[in-house]
Amino acid sequence: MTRSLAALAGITCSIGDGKVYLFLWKVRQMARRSLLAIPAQLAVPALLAVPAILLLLAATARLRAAEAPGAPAGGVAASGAAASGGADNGAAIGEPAAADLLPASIVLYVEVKQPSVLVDLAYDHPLRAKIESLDNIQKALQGEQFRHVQAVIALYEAHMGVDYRTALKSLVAGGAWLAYDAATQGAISIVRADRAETVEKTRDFLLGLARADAAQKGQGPQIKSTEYRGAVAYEFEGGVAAIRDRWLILSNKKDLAKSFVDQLADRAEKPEDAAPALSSKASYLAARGSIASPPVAEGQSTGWAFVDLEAIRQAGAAKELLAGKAPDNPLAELLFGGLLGALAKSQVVAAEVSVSAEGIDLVASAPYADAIPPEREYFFGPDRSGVAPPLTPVNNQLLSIGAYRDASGMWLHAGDLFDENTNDQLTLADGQLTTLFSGKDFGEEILGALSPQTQIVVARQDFTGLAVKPEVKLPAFAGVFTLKAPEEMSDELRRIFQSLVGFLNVAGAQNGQPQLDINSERTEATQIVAASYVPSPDEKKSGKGRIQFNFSPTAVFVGDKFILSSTEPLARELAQRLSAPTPEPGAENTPSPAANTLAIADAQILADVLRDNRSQLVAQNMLEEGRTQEEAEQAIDGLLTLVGAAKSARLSLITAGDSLRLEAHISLDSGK
Amino acid sequence: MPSKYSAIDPAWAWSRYGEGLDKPLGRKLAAHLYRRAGFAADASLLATAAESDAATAVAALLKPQDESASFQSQMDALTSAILATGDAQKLASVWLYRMLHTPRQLVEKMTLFWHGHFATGADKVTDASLMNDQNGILRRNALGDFAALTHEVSKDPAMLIYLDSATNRKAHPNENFARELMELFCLGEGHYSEKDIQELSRCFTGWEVKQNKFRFNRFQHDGGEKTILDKTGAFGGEQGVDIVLARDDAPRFIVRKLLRFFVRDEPDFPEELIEPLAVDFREHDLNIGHLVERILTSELFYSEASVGRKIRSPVELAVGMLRGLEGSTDTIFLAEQLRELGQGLYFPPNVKGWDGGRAWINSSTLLGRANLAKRIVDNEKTRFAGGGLENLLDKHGLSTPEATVDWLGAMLLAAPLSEAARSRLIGLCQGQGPAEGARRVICALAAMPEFQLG
Repeated sequence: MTRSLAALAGITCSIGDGKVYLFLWKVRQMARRSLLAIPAQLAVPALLAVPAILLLLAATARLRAAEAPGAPAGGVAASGAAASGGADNGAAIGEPAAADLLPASIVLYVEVKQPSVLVDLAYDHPLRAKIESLDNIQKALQGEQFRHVQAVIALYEAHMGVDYRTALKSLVAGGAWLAYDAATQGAISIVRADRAETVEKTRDFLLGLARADAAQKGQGPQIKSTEYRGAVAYEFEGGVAAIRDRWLILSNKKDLAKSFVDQLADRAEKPEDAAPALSSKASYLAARGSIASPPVAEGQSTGWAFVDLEAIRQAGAAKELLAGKAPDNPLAELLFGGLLGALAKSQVVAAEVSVSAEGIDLVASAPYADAIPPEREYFFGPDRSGVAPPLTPVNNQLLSIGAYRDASGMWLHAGDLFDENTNDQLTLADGQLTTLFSGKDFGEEILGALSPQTQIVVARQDFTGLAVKPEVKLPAFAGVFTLKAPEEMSDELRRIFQSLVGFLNVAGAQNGQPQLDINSERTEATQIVAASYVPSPDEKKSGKGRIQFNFSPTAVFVGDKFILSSTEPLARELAQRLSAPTPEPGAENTPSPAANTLAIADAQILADVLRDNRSQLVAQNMLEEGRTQEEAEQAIDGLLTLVGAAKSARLSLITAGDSLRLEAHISLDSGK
Repeated sequence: MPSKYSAIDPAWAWSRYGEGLDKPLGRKLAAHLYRRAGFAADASLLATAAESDAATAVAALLKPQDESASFQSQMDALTSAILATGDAQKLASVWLYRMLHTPRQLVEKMTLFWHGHFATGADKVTDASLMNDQNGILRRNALGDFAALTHEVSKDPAMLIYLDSATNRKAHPNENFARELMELFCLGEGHYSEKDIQELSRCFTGWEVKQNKFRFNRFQHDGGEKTILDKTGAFGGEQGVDIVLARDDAPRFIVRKLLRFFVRDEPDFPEELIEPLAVDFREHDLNIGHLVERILTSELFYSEASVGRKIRSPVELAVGMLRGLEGSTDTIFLAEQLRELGQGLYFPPNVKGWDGGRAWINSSTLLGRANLAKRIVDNEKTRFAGGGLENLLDKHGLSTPEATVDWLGAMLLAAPLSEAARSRLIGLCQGQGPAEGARRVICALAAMPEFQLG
């Protein structure tokens, strides 16, 4: 331990200011027992992971705020990439962006344009305090590993002479990038600092840590340094780090880092001889172009990323994801089949994100010019014409999805979409459903009676006033369908619904489950068939019921609409809204013109649903975590607070021309 | 083969340990008492019990501070949370939580005993609430009146469903319950005839389960005269149970089984050791608490013939380790692990319950039992003294490998560590952080043969 201290003290000597005392104090405070012997294997990744974490955060974040004080002005690089929008980060004029320096064989590229602003957001957002207050996070923060990280950070602060936030912002002031190269099978992480001195000091710090660790283990220096074309490279076990001017490069493949340094040198020395870079690659330009439109407006982008799907396909990687099918999962096919098909054919996929304290915007785009195969017409509609219906809002709405999905088309094309085993099961189900639906062909006649424009609604239930309340309180859900021939099908579906209730009663009786009582009412415009569970005398007395008491299956026919709901109140509310003289869904519920799917979710309602089940969640937590009741309550309340920190989310899947586009917006509680 | 016990004087065996000597149990025997009468004592409980004489320590177990109202309501909340899911498999996690945290260890240990005695499996009953109701019957009567317990179990829907006796018509009396009542619950094999079973089964005709509740269908009851175990009359079900309970073989059967549970798995106890307790049990109206007290305060219980001479069941092993080390863990995970090791709570292998003793040990379970301890320690949700192992070490001032090994050995083993084993365990701590050292010691202790003994 003494040797470790001495070695670490070596680092502090280079500081040469009053920070040395602060450093020693912090180390004493944080490093209990043998913690002083911080291994370099832990320390180096811990420090370098921070930009990586920021990059990950940036992948889902958006910055509208002004640039951080001290960071260079966010100019536009005068490079080829700048023209394609690839270098609008904190680079000085004339400086290349990483895309100008990385090889054309890069297949995954992530660029964070203004990381220093992202650092501010990560530090200052009210969500941070909420996340940190979570029980599990608290536990992690008090854990030995985090204490190691804290100790390293304290050392870094002492070494840099500024607090970690300032040091980190300086280190990434000029941008941060992550990339994966197919040719070398290597990953590379790049940051550009505000000035060369920041990079050099960071390098000194890391080397000091490594030497301290080596000394503690009684080993000699293990990091070999080499000068190469104006850069200094450091080889260590598992990778190479290089610095040149303001650049800090870290890669697990020496050749990849070398090619980056070569490009830097070539551009400085003889730009005309520089090898073609990623920024001039056609797929890169296509990807950049595919997302260069609202809602992430120019100048508001936090970062963007692209994946060269074609290169990945050719390399034979991610076969399952890029197969274009979910062969054993009909529900996944129904929800995401079109997306899977696009991923299987698209050359690239690109995404741009922007984050502010108020929320996150994301747009992802995949060029998809191929003709839609017949088995996927159920998803996109003929000539990609299928659009989602406007959503009918309800009170306490947790989730609402409107989509174009021709379920009949999918059912009948099952043979082309699914594997043998799934098809066998679907064939079996088809026979049973045909019997259940009074001999009507399930695929052709039942699903075929429904228009492809469908809405699914999930809403929190109001249990007040109910004589019997279920112990587990589930949200209600309903499907809103449009009948192609309402006058023919309404009575038919009503009879089928009644038969279904009878079937459930027979099946339930065999298992000692409560029975359903059925009621019908018909007005001029509406026909309602509602079933409700009959409580046992014990349930009536206690007021507590089984999980079944979450349900009162109801079918409603309003005009050409058919509502199938898990509860009567939700069915009635939907019927009332749909039969209003001029239903106005509002902008939030209206899909954009070419939207195939629109989904809106409300996190506040989700928090309420979880709150309804707090005692269940607490009990579950006690058993699963071995906690006391007080501890479990604290953990669950923390979780509820965190869920409540998000406000809402809106997601659209749009078939725009020859590309498939995903637009999402998540609203966060900014504390305002 | 002559039994080793045949040489034991019953008068000595059942006399009170250290009677009149005001003799404290000491740490070793106090730990023995808690391993058998509960799952394990933590250091604080052990210190108190070690200073007490046997009678006082056992009295504390028989009449401990009641589970507080808040603990009771926590258990109710946990139970209803699991019942709401209808998952009988997860019900075991609630029971394990209770075993880990209850101040009434003996009641839970006896509930576990009766669960193996009146074995009923959720694989057949399927309704979690019925299994929970039966568990309530066992707990309520765990140290009470054996006759009352047997009567309650006789009408328990879970038991009747498990024994295919949910319908029992006079035209076709179901013999299952009558057979098990005599063979497995009250008398044991060889103390009744096939004719007795047939006649007793007629008493239970008309006993049914409807809507998960016991119902007597008088129209399906055979009201005719029956002759059971030399008694004749137009007996009903309750009278049938009473006739069985009135046999002298009934207290003998229960005493023998409880001695196996508390004192030693084998060899079997000779009649002369059984008889005095059986007579006493009868004289005290089949009061289980009184019988258990006699056993737990006896010279035999604290003798070399008992200490460290029982093989611990998986539940005793896991809960004992956790209680001894002030631990808690994910009980859903624990319940699954125990089921894999052959002691799934609410899932006994058959109506005979768990065989126990040497049946717990074979080449695969031995490895599984050591792995169970390791999995518990390595589970990220396992906590000791409210935190990591370092919390436990800090709390008990265990700052050296020697102190850690000695303390853990004393808490986890029924037998003292040999010098060679101690040195080896101390070696495991060298070069490790204190918590990692303790983790290695616990895992190594769990792999030792001595760890299997309770």
